[in-house]
Amino acid sequence: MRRHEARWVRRLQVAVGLSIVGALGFAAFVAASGEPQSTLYITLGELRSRAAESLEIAHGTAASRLPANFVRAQAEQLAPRIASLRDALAKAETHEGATDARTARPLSERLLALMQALAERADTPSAAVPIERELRGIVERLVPLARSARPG
Amino acid sequence: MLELFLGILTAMGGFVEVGELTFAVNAGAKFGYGLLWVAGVGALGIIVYGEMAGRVAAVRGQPVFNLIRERVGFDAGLVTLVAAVAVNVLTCAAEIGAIALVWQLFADWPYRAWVAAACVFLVLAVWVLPFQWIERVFGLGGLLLVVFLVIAMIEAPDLGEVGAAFVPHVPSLESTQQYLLYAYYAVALLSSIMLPYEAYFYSSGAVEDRWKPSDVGRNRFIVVVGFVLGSLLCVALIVVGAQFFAPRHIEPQLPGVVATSVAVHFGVAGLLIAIGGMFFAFAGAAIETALSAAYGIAQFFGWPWGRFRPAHEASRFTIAWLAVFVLATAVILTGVDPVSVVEYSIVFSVVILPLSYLPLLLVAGDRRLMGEYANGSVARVLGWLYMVLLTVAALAAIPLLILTHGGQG
Amino acid sequence: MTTASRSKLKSRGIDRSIHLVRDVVDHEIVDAHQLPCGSVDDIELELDPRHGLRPVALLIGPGAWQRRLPSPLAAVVRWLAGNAETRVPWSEIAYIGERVALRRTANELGLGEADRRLGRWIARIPGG
Repeated sequence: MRRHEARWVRRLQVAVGLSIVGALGFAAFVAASGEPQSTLYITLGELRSRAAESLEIAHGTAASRLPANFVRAQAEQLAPRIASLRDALAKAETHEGATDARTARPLSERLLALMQALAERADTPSAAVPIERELRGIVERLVPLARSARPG
Repeated sequence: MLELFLGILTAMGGFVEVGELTFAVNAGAKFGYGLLWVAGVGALGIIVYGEMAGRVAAVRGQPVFNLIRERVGFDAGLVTLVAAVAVNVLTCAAEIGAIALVWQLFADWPYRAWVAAACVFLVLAVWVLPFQWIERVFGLGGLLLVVFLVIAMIEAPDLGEVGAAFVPHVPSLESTQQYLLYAYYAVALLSSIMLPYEAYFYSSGAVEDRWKPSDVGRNRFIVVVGFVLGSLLCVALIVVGAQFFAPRHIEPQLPGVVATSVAVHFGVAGLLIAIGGMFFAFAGAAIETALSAAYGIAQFFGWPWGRFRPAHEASRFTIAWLAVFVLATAVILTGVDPVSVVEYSIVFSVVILPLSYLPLLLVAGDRRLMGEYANGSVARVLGWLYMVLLTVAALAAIPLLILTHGGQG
Repeated sequence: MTTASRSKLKSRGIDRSIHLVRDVVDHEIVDAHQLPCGSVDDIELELDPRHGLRPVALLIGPGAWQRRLPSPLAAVVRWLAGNAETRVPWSEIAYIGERVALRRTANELGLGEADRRLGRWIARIPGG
């Protein structure tokens, strides 16, 4: 009975091993290529989310619900993510017909600037109000943009 | 009686870790209640296997990895061990990265400094604290996440809608790409709830706590009640994702962002409770994965093991868990995005899930090893049903990862 | 004297020995103080013209279980863990149950050396 089981366990291991090889192959492929055009909708979706997160934090700051060092730290954690999205958009802009990327990139730049401003004025709730207003505008522009870029 | 109560609370508080938190909230944010039934399926799965692991430990006075080698053979057992240890290191790395992200919210040190601090903290905690204290402190601390249960109830008064979503169904989605993403999330969520280190740690813990065959009933009670309550936390996170984050167009990646949902209702106090709960949950998971890997290695090779022994009597076991913490920290210190580490740890866990659980299923069902306590018909049927399900999930995981552009969409 | 690799057993087909080996190999070993001191990684057999194959010793350590792996993997293991092997004569076995229990302590039999060596260092660290 043990030999019979061992055979099935070995088959399972081979199947799993092939899966892992596939994963590593995929990882290598992604690292090497990265086609900005087909995954633009992913970048836009992420940017929309980061913008909405920034809005929520600004909203919380204005309502004195979030401590200042939390706001600063959160802005610091979000900044590199927004920056890499901006870079991806800049790369996508150079492709044909990438109007969405061209619309979104300046929004991502503005988002970065606003988060920096929020971090600097984290202990002044009233200073967060105009930042919140502008962030809301950015989110409202990104939501339909991200949705329309989705396939299907 | 108190022991039983504490055991249940510890099981509940230790249920959530960073992968489950991230995937649950995002499952809700992306698909509303559409994946709630997967949480239910996962909860039942971890109950089935957790109960087996505890029963084996109580009846044999030995944890599972001791018996894996006897039952499945050296070669197959070694592959299982290597895979389990590799995934444990990756999961531990994810938790350490998440702890650093959480601590960074409070004081302005560079991220890498917090990673090193987290490693030191975890090593000290395991070195100094007796086993029961480790279980209790981090398990009970994780209960602070109950605050999300409160938020979920505030945000989603319609319990009927929530309940209906537990019936397995596939919601109608916009495109094939969306269906693929749904399938990916179903597989990932299932994996994050059924992480094997939980079952193996629980079984070694039962031996550390000196369980006897008479404890089998108690084991069943703790596992069922504790894990059901724990899965409520997971369900709460999905509901929060659906009711709070989806309308705001947020798909959170960072723990701090997830915590803002609590701040909206309970201000700074709520924020601190949420973040505190996350810290204990992540730290508990980091410790469990490291110890679980060390248990596995020591038990497989027949070395003395356990926190009930003085460290110098179980030297190689001690070195093993230290090495896991160090390796995991090294992974995070390479500068890789902790959010990505979380995702990959869950995906690779799915892939080895059937491999990790099959030996447990075989051991628990073997009358020669377990006598009258071998799997009854319920455990046997459910155990094998889940084995099929996990194998399907394991084989689908990588293709789904590729087709959804690394789980992004 | 031969070691009990699976292929050799298949060709011998001697029931009593196989049964014994299957129930002993890969089982945990405990010493006189119930301390775990390894697993049965291999068994040394002797071919007796009258009684067939007889087990004469337990073989414990990386050197023993390396042999059960495919050769490239065995080479990696040799590089990582060395090929130390401890031989415990069959006469040292007190009884064979779920675990293989020995008559003497691990120390006396030369088992668990690594733990003792590392243990001297670890014992110096406070709080453990």
